[in-house]
Amino acid sequence: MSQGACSDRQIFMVGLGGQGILLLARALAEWAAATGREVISSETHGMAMRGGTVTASLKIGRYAGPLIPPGAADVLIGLDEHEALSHLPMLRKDGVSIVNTAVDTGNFSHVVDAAGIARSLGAPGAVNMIVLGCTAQVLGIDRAEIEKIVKRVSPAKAKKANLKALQAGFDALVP
Amino acid sequence: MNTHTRAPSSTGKQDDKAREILLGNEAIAHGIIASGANVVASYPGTPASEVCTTAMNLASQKNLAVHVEWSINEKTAVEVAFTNSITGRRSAAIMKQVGLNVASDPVISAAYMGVTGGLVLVVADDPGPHSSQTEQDTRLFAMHAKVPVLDPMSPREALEMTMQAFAFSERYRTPVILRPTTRVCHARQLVELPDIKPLDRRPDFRKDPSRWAATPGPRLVLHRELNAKLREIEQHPWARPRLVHGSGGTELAVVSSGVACAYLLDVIAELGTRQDISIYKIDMPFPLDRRALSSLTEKHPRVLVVEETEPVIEMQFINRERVSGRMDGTVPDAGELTPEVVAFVLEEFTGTRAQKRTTVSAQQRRPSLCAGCSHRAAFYAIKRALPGGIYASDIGCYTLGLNLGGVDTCLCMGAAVSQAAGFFHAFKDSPTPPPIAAIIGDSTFFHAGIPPTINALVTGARFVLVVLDNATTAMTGHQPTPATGGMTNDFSGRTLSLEEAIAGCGVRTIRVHDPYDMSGFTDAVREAYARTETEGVTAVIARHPCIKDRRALQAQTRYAMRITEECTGCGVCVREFECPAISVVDRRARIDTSLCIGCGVCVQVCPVEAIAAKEES
Repeated sequence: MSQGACSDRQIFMVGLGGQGILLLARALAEWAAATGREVISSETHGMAMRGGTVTASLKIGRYAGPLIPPGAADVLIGLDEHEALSHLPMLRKDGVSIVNTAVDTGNFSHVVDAAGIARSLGAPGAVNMIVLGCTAQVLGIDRAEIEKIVKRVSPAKAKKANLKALQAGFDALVP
Repeated sequence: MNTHTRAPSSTGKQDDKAREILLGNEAIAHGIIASGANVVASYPGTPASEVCTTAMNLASQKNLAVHVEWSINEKTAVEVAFTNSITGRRSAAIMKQVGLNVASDPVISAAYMGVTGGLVLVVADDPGPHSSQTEQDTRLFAMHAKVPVLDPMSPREALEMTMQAFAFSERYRTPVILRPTTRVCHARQLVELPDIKPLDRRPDFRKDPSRWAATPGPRLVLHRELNAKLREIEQHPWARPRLVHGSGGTELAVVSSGVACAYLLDVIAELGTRQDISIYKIDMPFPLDRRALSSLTEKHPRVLVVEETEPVIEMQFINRERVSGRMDGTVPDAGELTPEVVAFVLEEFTGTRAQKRTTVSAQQRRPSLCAGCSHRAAFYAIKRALPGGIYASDIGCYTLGLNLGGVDTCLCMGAAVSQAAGFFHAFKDSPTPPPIAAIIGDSTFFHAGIPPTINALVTGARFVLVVLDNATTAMTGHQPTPATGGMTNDFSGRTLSLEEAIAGCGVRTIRVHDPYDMSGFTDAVREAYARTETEGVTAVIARHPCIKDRRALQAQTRYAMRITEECTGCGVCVREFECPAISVVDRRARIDTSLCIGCGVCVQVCPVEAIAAKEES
């Protein structure tokens, strides 16, 4: 796999406490590391996780600090539409956004009704994995590779549901 | 330290060392365990909590002869760890910055006495603040306590510094503070896992009362000895600024430490800010080689200091004529130094035309007690039992009771009890003194609530003590409490129930009630309050497990909730009860089934009985 600054990438993730943004961030970080690149990421912990705004940053490549400055993210992943909209300035011009929403308002480059899909799968908590599947699809991440990682990072009890959701997400954006 | 520059672009897969993506706190725990520490003690607090959790897991998984404990508070943790370190063995105590305030007494004395085995105090700061009462700077505290302090900028550097800190501590016979900030604690980075080498050291306590039990006279000798140690430490390479970017021959120089230094390096590379600048990193902000630091102003006509959160390095320049930073207002005097703040400061300093700046002014959604949390029911009931009362509360998830008007004060750990006493004395001679409640969590009560309860009882204060008992330390990630047991990696030790502890403080009336039964709980609080007239302090334990505990949640009855036609849209359920699963849309309450856990408590709140609950099979 080719290295260097051209493959450097900054991914900003936002959602609400309890939506599982940290597992999503962790899976992407593990994927990046498995491709042989340096990884540094940042997470929200503590009180905000009680239903408040939760953000995570993932920087792949030659970076020293864990935070992404506004306007510099290459990719924005939103598990909550309102949070994604208010954090849209994090994205650079021509950046890619992948957002969970039932209604396409035209604000994002890619939308998916992850909550709807999660409900139909009988796993309302799997919105994060559906959006991860979409993200993998959009970013050209190898399907088998991301499945392997989700298997590894998921808690034992959630493994099956997470894989199912990931696959549903992967297929959700196929035209 | 070999990670002073930006990370290489490739991780080099041929490396046979195990590499893992670790949270900064996990990396620190690996460093502690790999260094052969045999006592690790901590009280949980964001952003430090995961250090002890990880140490505990490592000790269990690898079956190591290491004692890892959740201590009752930070002062106790430091005292246990320090004492292990005066027998020649290695120890670590871990806490958040405000925990260091609680532990300040032993820390400052420990500096005088010194150690024979390595003692590393991990104290996590929280610029922002994100999850704390203050933005205090532990480096400044370290200066006050005369303890060397290391300021890592990344998980990888935190791991390396932790490992080296033990040897450093032994070389100079002093405790060492490792001061990561939130952005280091909660960053994840690829790190090389260190080998775990158990140290085969027998405990060796050499009795020396003039040191270990020093009275004021010998303390003067110890103080002089400490000062001599610090002068020696100033000769260590960590005490000197280290060039990490640029030639060192530029007009402009920036001196930095911690994660702010990482942002500087990124800002210079990413935002295309001027390259003709030299960046120096300080690994150990105290004690500093002040002459080496000050000589930077001879080499560079203009020097900027970028550090979090107080001007600790800046104030140590002998002459500050050519120095900019927080003291002259170049750097904001409060708040976190994010990459955008660092970029702004750098542009101001270098006079580069500011680029078009993007800002995110997103209204952060306020955190709230979880849907189904028993604390919400308890606060609602307390408000009904003691209308017009003053509700002194404390630190934990339940501070969020302020959203529903159930929390009037939150000062610091344990203060709910002493503030309730303070309010009693303030109002006792008023014609109509308000009813007063101290509302405190189970873990917080054990941490710092016991002495003020005894104090209130023996000094004639009258209030009802409500202990919110959810059988865990929930806010920081579900650590055990003395009542649940499991405070150590080997599950040794007995448990102590809240009833025993409260009775031991001298409280006679102790009611235990589940707040899910709101009317019964309201009665319990009312009755307990009535008894304060004769008994002073009475107690109610609000007992219901945290619903984030999966097993507890599965064990409780679940109801399917429905809003009936009776709903008038009055909004009491939102305003007074504040459950995040309930909202009022078009003058009608609505229940978000993705958030609702079916606790059924809201049925008791609705004034027109428009919430219906049907037990789920």
